[in-house]
Amino acid sequence: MPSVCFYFQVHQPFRVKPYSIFEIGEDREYFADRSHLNLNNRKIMRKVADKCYLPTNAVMLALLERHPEFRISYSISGTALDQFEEFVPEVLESFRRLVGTGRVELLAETSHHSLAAVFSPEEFRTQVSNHVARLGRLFGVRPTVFRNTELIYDDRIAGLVEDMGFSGILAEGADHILGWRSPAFAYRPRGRKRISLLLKNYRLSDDIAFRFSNRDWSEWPLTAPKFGRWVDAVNGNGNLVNLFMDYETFGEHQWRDTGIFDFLSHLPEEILKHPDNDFVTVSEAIRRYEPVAELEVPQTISWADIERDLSAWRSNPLQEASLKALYALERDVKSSGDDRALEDWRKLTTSDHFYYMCTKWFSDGDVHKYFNPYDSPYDAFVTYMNVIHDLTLRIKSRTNYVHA
Amino acid sequence: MSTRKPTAEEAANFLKNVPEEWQAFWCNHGTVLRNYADLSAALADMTPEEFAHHVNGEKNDFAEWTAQVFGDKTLADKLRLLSTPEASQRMVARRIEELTLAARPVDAAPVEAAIAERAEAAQEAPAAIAQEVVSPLPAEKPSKKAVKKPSARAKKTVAAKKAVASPAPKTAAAKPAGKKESVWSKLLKR
Repeated sequence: MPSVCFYFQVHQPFRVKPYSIFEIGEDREYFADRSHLNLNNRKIMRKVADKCYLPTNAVMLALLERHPEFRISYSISGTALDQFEEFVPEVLESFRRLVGTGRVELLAETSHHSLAAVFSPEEFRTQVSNHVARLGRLFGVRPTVFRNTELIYDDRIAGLVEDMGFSGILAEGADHILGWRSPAFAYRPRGRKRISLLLKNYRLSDDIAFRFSNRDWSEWPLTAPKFGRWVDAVNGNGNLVNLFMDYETFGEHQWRDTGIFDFLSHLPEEILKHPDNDFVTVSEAIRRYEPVAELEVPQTISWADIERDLSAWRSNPLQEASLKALYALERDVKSSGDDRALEDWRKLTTSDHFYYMCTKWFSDGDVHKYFNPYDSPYDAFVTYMNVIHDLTLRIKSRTNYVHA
Repeated sequence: MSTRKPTAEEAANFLKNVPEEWQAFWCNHGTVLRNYADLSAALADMTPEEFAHHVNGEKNDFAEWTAQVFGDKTLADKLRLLSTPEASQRMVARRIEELTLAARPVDAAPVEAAIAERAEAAQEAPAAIAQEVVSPLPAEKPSKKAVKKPSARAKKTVAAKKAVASPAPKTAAAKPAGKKESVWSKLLKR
């Protein structure tokens, strides 16, 4: 009886515009690129809304209407919500309609899609609380399950999240933590009493998210009936098929002409052809399936890259230096009383900025290049550090002003 | 292979399916393994790449599975020393043989079958043949003492006959249900 659990990450960062050393002290509009570049957040959001969010939400709503058993879970980052409100309010409205069906669940996360869980537990708790409150205001829901930025997870983070009262947390079903175990069961994070751990079935998830349009793949073309049979194969071997992926898979990463929307439109009916299959949201999965065993994850994992670790964000000196500079500002920016500076600082905590600085070309170079709007990791680093310098000056001038 | 021979009970447990569904081994290429026979078959078909997903410089999932789920530290320790699917498969196959022998209860069924066959052929009473099959000594009415404790020679002969009559492992459960257990069965059970 496998229950299929669809979870989609919806996220867009505020990309930092080209910002030279000569702009330090002159320009505070770090995220307001108006050019034709891929750093123009408005332009990018419009494009992704048209290619992905609006058509995919339309398909999802139709599926929910057609199949009463269908369920979906989303986490929508605060930076994506900001840009929906500012640039494409119709996308926010379409998500509201989905949530309004009562069969779509929203998850909690850090408001700014940050690495705060790794660097600052205090900031982590604040961002999570802020995001939960915002989901309440925008959608009238209170999330009970948490997923961290890019599924970053370890035993310590599970503890932080359980202490905040969440009943579940999502993580990557990484080979090196599962070993012989299956991602088709709920687990208990090591040393925890209440919280459940749901793990991504990365093989089946990546078949859709990454391999769907790959003509060199032996299983190409992937059809809904074929995928339905793969799900059926879990029958008798597990409880859950956790399909976790970027929402931008539909229409943005896998373009419409690949047939991804047809695939999605037919997938629920193919899965439901087997009488033992059904769909669950993440909290339904947690309520229905008790953890079968404790799972120890002492080393931090994520769903990024082949390594499934933190190396996408912190594997070179550029990334480490910028992260150090960012979190060194935390206390001062919070005590400055400058709400705008604090919000800018939080926008700079978004993990994507450090992803753009990644130089790990040898293993996942194509993926990093695809997602990188800068000409090079070095350009991303120089731009980011210039902004950090400007923000530092702003805080210092504010602090000096307050103290004077 | 082992430093300590497993008891029949331990051996039987090692050869069973995993007790819980979640304890099955999930191979990276999709196969689900529930017992040592599955593991042996999977290793025989496994490519080096698939094997490397589970056995590399940092881990040996097969060893962890046999140790954590079955408690078979002996096999786990041996598997940890091996770095190819072929060698691991041979090791698992050897362990299965060893465990099968250790788990096999001394089963009177082959003996009884031999008795019945001889009796039919010789048109003799099964009781008379029984003594001959079990012991090549001249037939005589066994004393109470002898029934309680067969001689070492008699035991050896039973084992030899059994080996000929039953090359494949058999278990008590394979006997027809409701069949009355013979005196020999009772006596020869461990």
